[in-house]
Amino acid sequence: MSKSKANKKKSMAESAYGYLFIAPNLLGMLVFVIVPIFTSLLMSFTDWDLINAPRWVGLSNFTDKMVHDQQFWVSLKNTFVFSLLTIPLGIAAAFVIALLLNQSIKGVNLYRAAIFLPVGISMISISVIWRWILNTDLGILNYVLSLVNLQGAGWLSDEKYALFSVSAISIWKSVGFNMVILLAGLKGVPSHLYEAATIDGAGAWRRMTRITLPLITPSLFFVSIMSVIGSFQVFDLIYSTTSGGPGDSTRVIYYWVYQNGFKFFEMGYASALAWVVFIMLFAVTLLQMKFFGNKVNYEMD
Amino acid sequence: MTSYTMSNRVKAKSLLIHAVMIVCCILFIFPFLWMALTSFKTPQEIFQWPPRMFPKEWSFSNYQEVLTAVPLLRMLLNSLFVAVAVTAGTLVFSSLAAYSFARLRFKGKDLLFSMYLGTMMVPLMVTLIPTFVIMRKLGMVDTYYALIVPGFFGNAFGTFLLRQFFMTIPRQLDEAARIDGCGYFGIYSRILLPLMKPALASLFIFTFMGVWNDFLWPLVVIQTESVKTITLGLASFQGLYTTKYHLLMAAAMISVLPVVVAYISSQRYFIEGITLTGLKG
Repeated sequence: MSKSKANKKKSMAESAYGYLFIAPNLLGMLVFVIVPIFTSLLMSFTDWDLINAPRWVGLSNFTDKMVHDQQFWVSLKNTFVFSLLTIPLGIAAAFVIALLLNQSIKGVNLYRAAIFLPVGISMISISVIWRWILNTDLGILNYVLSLVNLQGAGWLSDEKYALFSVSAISIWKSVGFNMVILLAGLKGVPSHLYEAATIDGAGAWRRMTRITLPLITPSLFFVSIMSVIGSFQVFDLIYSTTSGGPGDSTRVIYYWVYQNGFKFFEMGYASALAWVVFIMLFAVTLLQMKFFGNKVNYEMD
Repeated sequence: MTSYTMSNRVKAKSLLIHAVMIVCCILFIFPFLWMALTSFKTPQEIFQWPPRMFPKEWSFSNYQEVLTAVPLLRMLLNSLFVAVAVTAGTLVFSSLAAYSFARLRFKGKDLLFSMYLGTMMVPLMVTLIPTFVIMRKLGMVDTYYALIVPGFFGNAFGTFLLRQFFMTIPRQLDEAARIDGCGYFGIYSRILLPLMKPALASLFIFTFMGVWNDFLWPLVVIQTESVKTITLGLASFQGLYTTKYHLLMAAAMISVLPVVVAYISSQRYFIEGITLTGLKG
């Protein structure tokens, strides 16, 4: 009898501490994440310039304004092109480097450190540096190209090249991140599997497709999720290299949301756009989970 | 004979890998080197064609000009202050919440935890505008509070990450400590936290880097020069001196150098921290 009373008292104390320890974190989450998420959803049904009271406009931000917004469609297209360029190429490059660094050679740590360096530097600093390297008249890249008799170009000032150039900068910055994750995955593959496969006569290609790839799918899954999140939300790079130009050639969706919210003070419409980004990101992530879901192999953990 | 050719093949292979990696390294290091070299050149030298690799005379005048135009050193200190404050808050509050999620029983825990997981997918842009409106209502816009308060209480990611690590520590430790008369807070602070050092170090690096490099939020809430972080400061400097590349490179140097020094002195922790965060998160 008294024992169960003591137990009850103990579990009450336990929940009290449970709530107490979680309280500050939860408060921060409520005020700066949960409430804003729902507020943003409500705002997407309004027309609001921050000064006058918000006006309820129903679904018209989505069904009318967005559908007829040329810039929205252009920015959507640019975001997709940017993603399709940066995600596969970025992961492939990182994978090749990781494979090379997984060999038993000297100086692996040094190489790894050099390639990882841009990951820790702010995108703004990196953009400033690359704007100088890619400069049309004085940039070192066009000079190097002229040495081998190639025609230089306005890498960031020509509509034909700008989106490719920012994609290249983005890959350059993030390849180190993907590389260290994939390298950690490769290190986790037990070497006796390769030895056994070699004894059984499996060639390099078969070892790659039957052992390496299946066993590093958790790492591949993680870098692909992170790459999608990063490329859908690219902003700093665009802001500080091209500001969406020349023309509309590098205007991506995140930049368009920012402009609507904080340049044109269309808070309602900007919220609607932000929700569209969220829904697309959510859908793509679900697709990735489906794609990797039956392939992710945790057996070796 | 066979072993001789074998070792020659191995040698050739490792030579090839070294060659590829050295090209890679040049590709990743050269932009920073070029920034450093340009920052010591005079404006006349910038316009010289063909460009010279090294400055004719090493001059610090670009740095003087930059630092008198924009208080970049002050902005570095701002970044340091904001990053330390947010990181400290995150480590304390996220680890407390993570301990609670991992070890204590209370009603609604599973619901709360799935709510935490759900928010991790929401892009910053969704919460940006309402958070800005909240900061305006609180009168915090254009102050340090705007930079610190939203991140100070920790975030879903940090809590989730640390919870995963708490789960790997055997519960027997908690029970043994309880028998010795340790309370819940004591178990958290004296028994479990010391075992969490690698995880806390990872979260420290991850959060610190995130806050230091954050751009969108400072851009939206800060206008005053003296409150700007270095990232925002460099961007506004670029807005003013769009094509004065000798000055821009000096400003970029000031923003990059502290990070590079920190990186070189502890790159192992940097990389391992990020890897650990990636694998558990």
